[in-house]
Amino acid sequence: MSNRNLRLHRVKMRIVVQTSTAFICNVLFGIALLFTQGQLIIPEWMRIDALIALFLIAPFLVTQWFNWIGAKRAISDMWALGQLSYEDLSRERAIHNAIDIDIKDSKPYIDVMHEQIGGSLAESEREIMALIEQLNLLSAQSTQQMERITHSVQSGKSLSEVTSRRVERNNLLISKLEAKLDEQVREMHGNYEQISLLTDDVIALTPIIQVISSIAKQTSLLALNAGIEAARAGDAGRGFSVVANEVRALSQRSTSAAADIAERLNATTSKVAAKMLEAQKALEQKQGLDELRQLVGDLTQMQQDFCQSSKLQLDVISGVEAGHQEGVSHLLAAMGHIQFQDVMRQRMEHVQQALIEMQNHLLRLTETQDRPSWDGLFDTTFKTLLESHLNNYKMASQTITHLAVAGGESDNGQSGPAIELF
Amino acid sequence: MAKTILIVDDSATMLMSLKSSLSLGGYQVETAGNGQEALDKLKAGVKPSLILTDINMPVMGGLEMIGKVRALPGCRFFPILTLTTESQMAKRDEGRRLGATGWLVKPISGGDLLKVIKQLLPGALG
Repeated sequence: MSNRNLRLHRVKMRIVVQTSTAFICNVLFGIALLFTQGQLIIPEWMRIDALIALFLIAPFLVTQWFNWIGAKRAISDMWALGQLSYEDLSRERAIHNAIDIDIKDSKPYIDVMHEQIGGSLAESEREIMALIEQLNLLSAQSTQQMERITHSVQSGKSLSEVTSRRVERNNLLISKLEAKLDEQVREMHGNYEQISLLTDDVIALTPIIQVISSIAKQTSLLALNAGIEAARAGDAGRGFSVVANEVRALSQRSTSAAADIAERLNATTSKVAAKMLEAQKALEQKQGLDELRQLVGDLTQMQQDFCQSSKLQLDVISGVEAGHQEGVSHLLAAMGHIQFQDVMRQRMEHVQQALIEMQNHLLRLTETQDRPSWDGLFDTTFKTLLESHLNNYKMASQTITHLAVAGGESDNGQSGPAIELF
Repeated sequence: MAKTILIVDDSATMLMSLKSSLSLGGYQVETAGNGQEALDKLKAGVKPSLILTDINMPVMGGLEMIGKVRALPGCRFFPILTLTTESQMAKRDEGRRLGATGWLVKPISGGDLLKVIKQLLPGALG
């Protein structure tokens, strides 16, 4: 039993004893009065003389004196108890006030923690949205790349189809040209054969001409011999020498005519061959020219198509490369936004520590208020705890949030640039 | 040949995002979870061209690590960047005093990080 309750119990007992004794004393006094006054019919044997009356009055007086002493003590005790109660009440009131103040100070503490959490959530939401935006841009970039590549594939297919058709047509043209060439080669062979035959004929004529020439030469010799014999014959051979001279002249003309014939034959043969060749060439050129024109035209067109396709491919490659760079840029930005998770983790860790600190402080409050010797003053309060946070924040954003909710001043809110090279 | 960067951070998310960003920039990447792991890697023969480190880490923090790295032979002059949420100017000054080359505050975009690293490592493939 506590000291206070013990004393209260004693006071109660004293009051009980006191009132009881007072009652008994009053009863005894009443009896004594009755005896002295003789009002009560008392048998003879019970008549008490003054000594007996005194015996009754004396205890009465003694007990009244004791009661007076007791009452004094009781009053003193009650007064002391009252004082104690007053001190207890004062102490209780002081505790209550201190706790009240501290609990009121817990509001800013909790408000700061609430805003730290709220700020972290808001920042998380912003960073998540920024991250999603970067991923969307990346996805759009990827779609554009696919469209470029698809377009390039389609263009390549179209070009391939057109080129195939042209190649097919050109193959037909080439076949026709080959056929014509074959035909022309056959004609040429034929013409060459004819020319050969002609040449052979000419060559065959050459011995005949040589025979004629030989005959003419021999005739000339005979004529010469005849002239000589005619000269030997004298006048008788004069007529013969004239004939011999005519024969010699005739043979000379035959020789020259033969030579002339040979020369003309050769010239004619050459001319014929040349003419044949010219005709052949002209024929070839005329017949192959149209197909060649078409073939060259198609090849030129194909070359232009390939050039255009190459340019298109280069454009696509450039576009894909630019798109890739843009995609990398979005990816790098997204990686930066992911870092918010680490920032939020550190802010949440701080709030966790603050909650543990709050829990410990409340436990200390509970233990302290039961301590009888406690003077009503706290070693630490929510206010001092909150103020200590201000000097321990790592991030400027934490300091800014704190000052916005709880007020105050701090140098910690001023931070340097986000990127600084020393 | 691609240059090597050593990243020191106790956050798996940070290691992942920084590794991705630096790989996109063409760098080879080594990682460590705290200052002590980083020191062990350096002593084991890893030769980074640059170290990128957090400050607040378990076992050994970034500032302590910077001081010890600068004391290692051959490690006095390559760049060491801090990447941290720390905003206190006192910590920044301490980092400068211990030998940090630069101070970066989280979060930092991959593009900005690569620009800073290119400034410190000219001629890198990144």
